[in-house]
Amino acid sequence: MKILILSLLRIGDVIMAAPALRGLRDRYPQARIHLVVNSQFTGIAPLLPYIDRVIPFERERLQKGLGDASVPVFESYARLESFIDSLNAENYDVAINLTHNRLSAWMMSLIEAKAKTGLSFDAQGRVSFGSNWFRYLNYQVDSEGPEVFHFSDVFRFALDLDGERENTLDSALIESASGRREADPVLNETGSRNIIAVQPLTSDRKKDWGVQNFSAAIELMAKRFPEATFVVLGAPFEKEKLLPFVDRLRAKTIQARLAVVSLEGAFSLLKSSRILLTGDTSIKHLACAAGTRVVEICVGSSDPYRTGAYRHGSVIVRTRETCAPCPHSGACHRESHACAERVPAEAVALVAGEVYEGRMFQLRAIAEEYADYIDVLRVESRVSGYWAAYSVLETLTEESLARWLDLTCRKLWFMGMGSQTGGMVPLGTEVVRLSRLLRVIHPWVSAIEWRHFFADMERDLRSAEARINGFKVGLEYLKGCYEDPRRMREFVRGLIAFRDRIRHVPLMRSFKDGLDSVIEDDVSPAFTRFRRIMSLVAEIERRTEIYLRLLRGLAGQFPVPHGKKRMEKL
Amino acid sequence: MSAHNEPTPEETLKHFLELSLAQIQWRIRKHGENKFDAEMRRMRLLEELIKEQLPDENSRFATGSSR
Repeated sequence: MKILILSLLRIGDVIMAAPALRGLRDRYPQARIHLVVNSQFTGIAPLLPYIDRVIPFERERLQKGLGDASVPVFESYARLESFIDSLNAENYDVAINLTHNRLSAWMMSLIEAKAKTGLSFDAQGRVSFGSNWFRYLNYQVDSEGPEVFHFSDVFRFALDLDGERENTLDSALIESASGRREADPVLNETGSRNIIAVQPLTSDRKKDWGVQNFSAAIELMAKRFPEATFVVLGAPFEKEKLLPFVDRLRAKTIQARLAVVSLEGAFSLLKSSRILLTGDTSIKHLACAAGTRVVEICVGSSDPYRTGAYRHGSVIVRTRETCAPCPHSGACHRESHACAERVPAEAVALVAGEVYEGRMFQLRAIAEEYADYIDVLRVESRVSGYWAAYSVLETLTEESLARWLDLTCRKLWFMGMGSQTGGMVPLGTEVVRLSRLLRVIHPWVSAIEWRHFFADMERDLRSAEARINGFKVGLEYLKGCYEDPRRMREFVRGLIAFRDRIRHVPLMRSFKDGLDSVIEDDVSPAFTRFRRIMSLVAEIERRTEIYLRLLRGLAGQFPVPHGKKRMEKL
Repeated sequence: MSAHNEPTPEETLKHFLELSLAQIQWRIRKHGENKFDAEMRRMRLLEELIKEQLPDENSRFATGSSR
C-alpha cells in the first residue's frame, strides 16, 4: 500500500502531525508512506525516519514566479503541473490531507488516489472531508474558547488512531546521529544535567514575549537555581539577535550558552534538558516529542487550546488581555504589545521554577497572586484520552463541567455513537477517562457533590429531551407542507423558543450554533431548509442521548460510600 | 519635488501579484463550464498561492466557500 500525506503549513504543524504519522506507520508497517511538506521544512525528515520519503513542495519558488515581472506567470503553472504529475506517477492508494487550507484542498483535488481523507474539492468544486473529524477541524477554526480539540488529537482521531500507543508522542520523532553530534559539544561544555533550554524568539512578532522579559525571568531563576545552565536555542538566522542577549546574561555571571543548531540538534539538546521556556514555537512541539516539559508563554496569536504544548506536566502561562488570541494575519492593533508587556517576568520565573523542580503545588498560589495579568493552565494528556489544558484556578461549576462533557460527547459522536450505521463505540472507556480527568482537575470534590452536579445536569437534559420529541412530531407534521411559509414559521418559532431556553443551560449551549444557522437561514429553498432542520433535530437528539449516557456512566464512577448513603436517606 | 514617488519594493511586488491574480482569475472565468477540470484546479491552486502573499489575506484556514 502507498500512502501520501500532505502537511502544507509550518514546521510546528508538521510536528503536531507526527503522532498521527507514527500511528499510521505502526498500523501499516509494510506500507510506503510519503509526506509532502513545504520545501523550507524538509529539515524535519531525519527526525521522521519511519517516513519513506519526504517530498518538498516548492511553494516559495512558485510564489516568486508569480510575483516577478521577469518570469511569465505560466512558468509557475508548468512547474506545478509537473509536480502534480510526479505525485500521480506514484499511484497512491490513499491520500490524506492534514492541512486545513484551500491551497491543500485544491492540491488534493488534483491528486489521483483510490481513497482520500481530509479537506479536498471534488470534481464539481464542492468541499469534501472524508471524516467527521476533518469537517469539525474546518468549523472549529472559527470558534473561540476552550471547547476545542488539540490539532494533534484531531489528526489522530480522524485517522482512527486513538489508543494506538499509550503515550501518543512516544517515538513520534526519532533522535538522529547528526543531531546528537551537534548537541554533544554543548552538553559536554555545560557538563550539567540541569539544563534549562530557552527559545526566546518566535516566527511571529506578535507571539514574542520580548528578550528583555526572558532576560529578567532568567535572572530570577538563576538566583534561585544556581546549579542550572541556560541553553539559548536559535536557528542560524537568529544568531545575530541572540548573541547580545546571551552576552548580557553572561556579564551577570549567569551560566548561559548560545546553541545555534538545526532542528535535529535542537531535538537532541531538548532530550537532555529538564525544561524548555518558550513562546509558541516549533521548538515547543519538538520539546514535547523529546519528552521535555514546557513552560509556554502564550501571547498574541498563540492559541493555547489548539496548539498548546502536548506534554503532560507542561504549563501554559497565558495573557489575560481580552484581544488574545488575535488573528494570525494583520499586525497588532494596540498602541503597545500589551499582551506581552503585561505578562510579569517574575510570574513566569516562579511558574518555571515549579516545573523545573517537578512539583506543582504552588502553581495555584502563583496564579492567584498574578490573576490580574495571567492565567496559568496545566496540561493533562495521560488520563483523558485527549489533550486537556485547564486553569489551575478552575472551580467546579456546571459550565466548567460542560466543557469536558461536550468534548467527550463530540468524540463519541464523531466515532459513530448514536448513528444507525455506527459501529462499536468504547463508551465505557471514555467514561472512565473522563472521570479520571475530572478527578485530576478537581481532586477535593466529594463523590456526593459530583453526583449532585450530574443529577442537576441530567434533569436539564431530560426536559430538553421532551422538547426534542415534540420537534420530531412537529417535523412529521411539517413533512408534507414544508413549502407553506406559515407552517415553517411556526416551527422555527418553536426552535427560537428552544434556543432561548438553552441559553442558560451550559451543557446545551453547544447546540446554539447549529440552531442559529437554521433559524437565521431564510434564503435557502424550502426543501433545503427543511432538510437542514431535520438533520439538526436528529443531531441534537443523538447528542442529548450521548450526554445522558455519559452522565449516568459518570455517576457510576463516583460511588457514594455506604455510610454516607445511609446518611443521605436520613 | 518630484511628481511621482518611486514605488517601494513591497508596492512593486503587490502590483505584480495583483496582475498575476487578475490574469489567472480572468482565465478561470473564461473557462466557464469547465471550471473544475484539472487545468482550472491548478489555476485555483496558483490563485491561493498569490492570495497568501497579498496583505490582508489569510488562507491558513479553510473558511467561507469551503463550507
